[in-house]
Amino acid sequence: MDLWDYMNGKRNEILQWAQSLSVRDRAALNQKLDMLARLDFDQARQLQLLAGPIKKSGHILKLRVMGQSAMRPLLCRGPHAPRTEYTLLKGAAERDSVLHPPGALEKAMENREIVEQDKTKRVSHERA
Amino acid sequence: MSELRERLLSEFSDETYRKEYSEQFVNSLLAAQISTIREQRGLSQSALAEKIDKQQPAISRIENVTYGRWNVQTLREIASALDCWLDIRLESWGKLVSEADAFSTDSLRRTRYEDDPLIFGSEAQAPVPDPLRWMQKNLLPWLRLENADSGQMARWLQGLDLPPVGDGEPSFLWIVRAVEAEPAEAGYRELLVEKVVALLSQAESGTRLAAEVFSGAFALLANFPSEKGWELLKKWNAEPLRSKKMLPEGCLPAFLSALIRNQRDASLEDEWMDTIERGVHKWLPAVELDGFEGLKAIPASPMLGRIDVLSKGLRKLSVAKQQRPNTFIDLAMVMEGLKNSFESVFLAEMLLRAGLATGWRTDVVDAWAEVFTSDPKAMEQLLERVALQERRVISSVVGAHKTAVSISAPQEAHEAAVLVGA
Repeated sequence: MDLWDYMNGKRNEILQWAQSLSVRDRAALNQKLDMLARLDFDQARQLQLLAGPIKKSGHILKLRVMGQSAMRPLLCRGPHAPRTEYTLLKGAAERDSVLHPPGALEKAMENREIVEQDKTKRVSHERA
Repeated sequence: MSELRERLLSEFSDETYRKEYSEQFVNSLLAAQISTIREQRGLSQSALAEKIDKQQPAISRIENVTYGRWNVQTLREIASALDCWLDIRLESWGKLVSEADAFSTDSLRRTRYEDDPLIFGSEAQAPVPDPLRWMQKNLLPWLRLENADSGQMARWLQGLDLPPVGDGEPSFLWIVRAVEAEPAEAGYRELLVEKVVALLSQAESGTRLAAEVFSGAFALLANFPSEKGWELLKKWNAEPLRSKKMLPEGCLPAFLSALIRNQRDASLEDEWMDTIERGVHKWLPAVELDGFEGLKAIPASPMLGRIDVLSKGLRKLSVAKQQRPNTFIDLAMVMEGLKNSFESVFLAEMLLRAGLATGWRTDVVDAWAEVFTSDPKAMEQLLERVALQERRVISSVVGAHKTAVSISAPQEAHEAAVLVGA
C-alpha cells in the first residue's frame, strides 16, 4: 500500500507533527506505518492497527499507535485509489477517549476533501 | 538495497529508537502471525480460543498489534493448537532490519506437520550436505588449475577442509570418489595423478610431508595406476628412500601397494615373486602383499602377461603348500577376491591355465569350479577351449547348481570319461 501525507501549501503537516514527537514515539509510529504499508485493509483492521471509520466522519480512520503516548494519526483510504493507498490527514493523540488537538477530526475531514479535489495537495509519505 | 532497509540502518544508530522499534515490531509480528496462521487453518477466534480453553476476547487481545504482555505458556498452547512450535530466541539488530524489510503476510504463513516440505518433500530426502558434491565442487576446479597449490592436496590428505560428514573414513577416499564419479574421458584421473606426483616430488627437494600425506598420496596412485605414477614409484623403489629418511615408517606398505599396482613392465617381477613367496622386499616391510595377498595384487596391465605371472606365483606358492595346510581355503579366497576385480570368465580361464601349469590337484580344481559356477554354459565352453589348447582332457558335469570338474592327462582320458559317464 502507498502512503501519502497531506500538504498545507508547501508545508507537510504530517511530517511536522511526527518531528515533534519523542524518539520513542517516532520509532513506534514509523514501525506501525511500515506495517500498514505491508498489510491489506482488512488485515489492518483485524489486527486493530486501524480503527474506524470514526462516527459521523464518513471516511476518517485512526492509526492505533501505543508509544509513550497514545498516538492516533487520522487518515483515509485513497481518496483516489482506495484499494492501494492511504493518505495521512492530521496528526493527533488520544487521551481519555478524546482526540487532541481539539477539532482534529473536523480538520482531517476538511483535509480529505481538499486532497480529493486536488491531488497536488499531498506528497508521498515523508518519514520523520 | 530497499528504501526501508536503508532507512532502518540509518535510524537504528539511535539506541532508544531501535529498542522501541523492536518492541513495536515484535508486538506487530506476533499478533499478525497468529491471526494469519489461524485463518490459514480455517479457524475463527472463538474456535482457536476453545482449543486452548480460553474465551474469544483473549484471542482478540493477542491479535492486537498494540498488545505486548503475552504469557509464554499461552503462546505455547496457541502454537500447539495451530500445529506449529514456539521459537523464542535473542537476535542481533541486523536481523531485525532484515525481518522488518521482509515482512509480508506470506512470510507469516506456516505449513502443518504433514505438509512440511522439509520433512516430507524432496528437500528432506536430499543429503545435506552431500559430501561427494562438496568434494567435487572443490576438487575438480582445483585439478584444472595449472599452478595449483600442492598444499591444498596435502591438507585434504590430512583430513582438513573436507566435507563436514564422513568422519572415520580415510580422507583420500573422498578424493577417489569425487574423481571416479566423473567419466574417465573427462581427464580428471590424469590431472589427479599429475598433482599427486607434483606433491610427492616436493619431498625429493627437501619439503617435509606428514605421514598421512605420503600414505594418502600413495593410496591415490594405487587407485589410479598410470605411467607417470609408475615412473616416480619405480625411481623411488630403485633409490631406497628409507635410507634418506624421507618416508615415515608407517607409510611404507602404502608405497609397496602403489608400486605393485602401477607396474608397467616386468622389471619388478623377481622382486615381486620374492615378496609373494617369502614375504621379503629388498628394503620394504612386505607384510601385506606376500602369499596369496600378493597374488591377488597382480595388476591388470596387459604389459605384464598376467597369466604367466599368475602361473609363476601359483607355482611358487605350491612349493610352500606342504607347510600350509590351509592352501585350499586360501586359494578359494584368492579366487573370490580376484573374481570381484576381474571379468569373471576371463579370470576363470586365466586361473585354470595357471593351475594347469602348476599341477593342480582335483580338489583344487573343484574349488575353482565352486567359485565360477554362476554361468555353467560359459564354463563348459571354457573347459572345452582350454582342454583343446592344453591338449588335456577336461571332463565336466554341469548340474543345476554345481559344476564338478576333473582334469586328466591324455592317457587317463578314458578313465575320466567313464567316471563322469560321458
